[in-house]
Amino acid sequence: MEAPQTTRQVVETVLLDPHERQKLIGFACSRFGILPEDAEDLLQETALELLRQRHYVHSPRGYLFTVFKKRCVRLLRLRRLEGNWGPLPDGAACPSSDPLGETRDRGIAIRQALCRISSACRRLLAAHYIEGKSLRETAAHMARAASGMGNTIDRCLKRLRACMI
Amino acid sequence: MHDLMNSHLDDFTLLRYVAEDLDDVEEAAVADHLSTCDTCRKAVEEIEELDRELKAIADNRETCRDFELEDLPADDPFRLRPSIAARTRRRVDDPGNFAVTAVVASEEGEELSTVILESASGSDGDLNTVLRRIDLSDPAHRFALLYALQKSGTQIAECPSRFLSFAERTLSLLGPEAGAASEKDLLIETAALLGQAQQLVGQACLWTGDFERAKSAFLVAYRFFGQVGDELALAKIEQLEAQRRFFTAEGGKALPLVRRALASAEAIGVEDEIGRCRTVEGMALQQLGRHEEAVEAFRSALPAFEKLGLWSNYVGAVNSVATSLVVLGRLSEARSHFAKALRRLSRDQHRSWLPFIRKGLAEVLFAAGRYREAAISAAQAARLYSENGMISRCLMSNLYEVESWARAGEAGRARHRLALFREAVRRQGVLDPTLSGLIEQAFSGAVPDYQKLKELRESAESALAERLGRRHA
Repeated sequence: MEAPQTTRQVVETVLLDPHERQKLIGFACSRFGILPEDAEDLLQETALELLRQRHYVHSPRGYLFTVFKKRCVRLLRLRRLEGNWGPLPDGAACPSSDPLGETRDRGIAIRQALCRISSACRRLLAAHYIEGKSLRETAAHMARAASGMGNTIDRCLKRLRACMI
Repeated sequence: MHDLMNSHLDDFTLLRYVAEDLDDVEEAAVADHLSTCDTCRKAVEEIEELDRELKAIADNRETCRDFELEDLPADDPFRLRPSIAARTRRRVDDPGNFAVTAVVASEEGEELSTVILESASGSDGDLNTVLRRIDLSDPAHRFALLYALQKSGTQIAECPSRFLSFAERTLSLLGPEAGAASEKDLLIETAALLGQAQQLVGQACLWTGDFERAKSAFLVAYRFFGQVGDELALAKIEQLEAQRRFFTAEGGKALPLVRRALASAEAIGVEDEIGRCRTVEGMALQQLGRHEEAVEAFRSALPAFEKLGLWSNYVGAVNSVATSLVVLGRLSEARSHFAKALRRLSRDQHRSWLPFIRKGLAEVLFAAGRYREAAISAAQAARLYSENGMISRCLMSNLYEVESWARAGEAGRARHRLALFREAVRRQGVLDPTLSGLIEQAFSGAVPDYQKLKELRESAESALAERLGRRHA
């Protein structure tokens, strides 16, 4: 069967077709370990966002899946930051099956995170990954120029690591 | 390195471990710790994955630039993106009913938005009449208002002042208290409407040249969209603010912002917005004199514009890439870009865009000192503009042709074309006769005064643009 194309069709399918709806909610629960009622909420909110943005979106189905996943990840990260989240479910951090292009998503998430970390940390990573310099020596050099570099780098790496979820 | 007995390993140590950047003693200590610590072993797995991803980003010519971003200054109001709420505020007991209500309201809103849009393009009276009928407690009306504001943004070039008025009236309509009573029950939050209206104010101000007001409007919109939690809307504001910074010659501050927007657009996969971000990135790079990178940015935008039929954006990107190529001394490459664009645009389907390509080609040839060819291309552009009823642009191309012939050493042709231009201007009554008289004077010496000619042409272009307005351009 051909996949629905219009915004209306996509929204109706994911919200009204029990099979489609359950597939997405099940994915969110097993992949991110979030509760079914939270996944339901996020799915509704994503569908509403798609309706709001219908004039800008050319691939409603792709948009809905991508934004839904991003919302799930955001909630998961928030829970982890708040510290009131249990251990990740089995396979939550494992990209092996990659049913919806998560490896690609992770690459994009890291690129986005690179925009948000401090420029000092980006310079450190560039020195290592682009210029092939030693991390320790570059960090030591930067630490001489600015105090508190160790904490800054650690914060930045934590932020980048969060994209591995 | 952290005290391995008392705490977990820090991320930097783990990254150095993965990157084999530790000395033997450190490495042995870390390995020893990992043999007993599940948490750090798990962290190492994630860091290994991060290391692989960073290597992939660094190895890719397109993505390695992400390492080169500079932070925006601490006092830059756009330095940090508003944090998006992770949690939804809405819980509904009957998802089926929610879906039906939302879809029906959106469909009705779509239809109604055309009525609002028409009135926004019409008289103040029409617009007031329609806006008075808007019931903000009706979800369909809220969708309609949102869609009309969005559509106005895409048509902003047609009449920025009218759409500015629409945005201002919408803001008055919404007011500070609008929708506050039962916000949770509304499908479209007031913040989304306010953000969209402020975005439209900013877009209109980019066209009217009121850049300070545009900045304020974009900032307010940015905050509202942060409340809504809409990443694409935030990215759009960043792209528009980056454009504004380009217009105010702040390319250095535009670049990090538009790259942030680009990362979001790529993550969400909205092709046209990716193209627009790449174009603005190219503009910023061009302003910074980084033409090689600008060429890449503009080129990467073209396929999406072509695929989606966004010809205004396509033509703009073609002209921009050619401008940078000429600066780099790659004229033949620039010409082949224009040739490809001309092959791509059919005379029947895209006739309104063809003269823009011809004019772009004329400007590139002119910049490269190929005045004779520039004159021919400008003449072709003028004819096409004329066929499309774009009087102002036709006259401007005529002037370009005049200057090109003069610089090509063909004064006779230049005078003849100028006489035709003066006659056209007289018929249209759109230019102070003294200005075209002054242009003629610039030819009077044995050698034409090119600098004077250029200044007068630019004055005439401004006057024509003002007199005939963008709408009839």
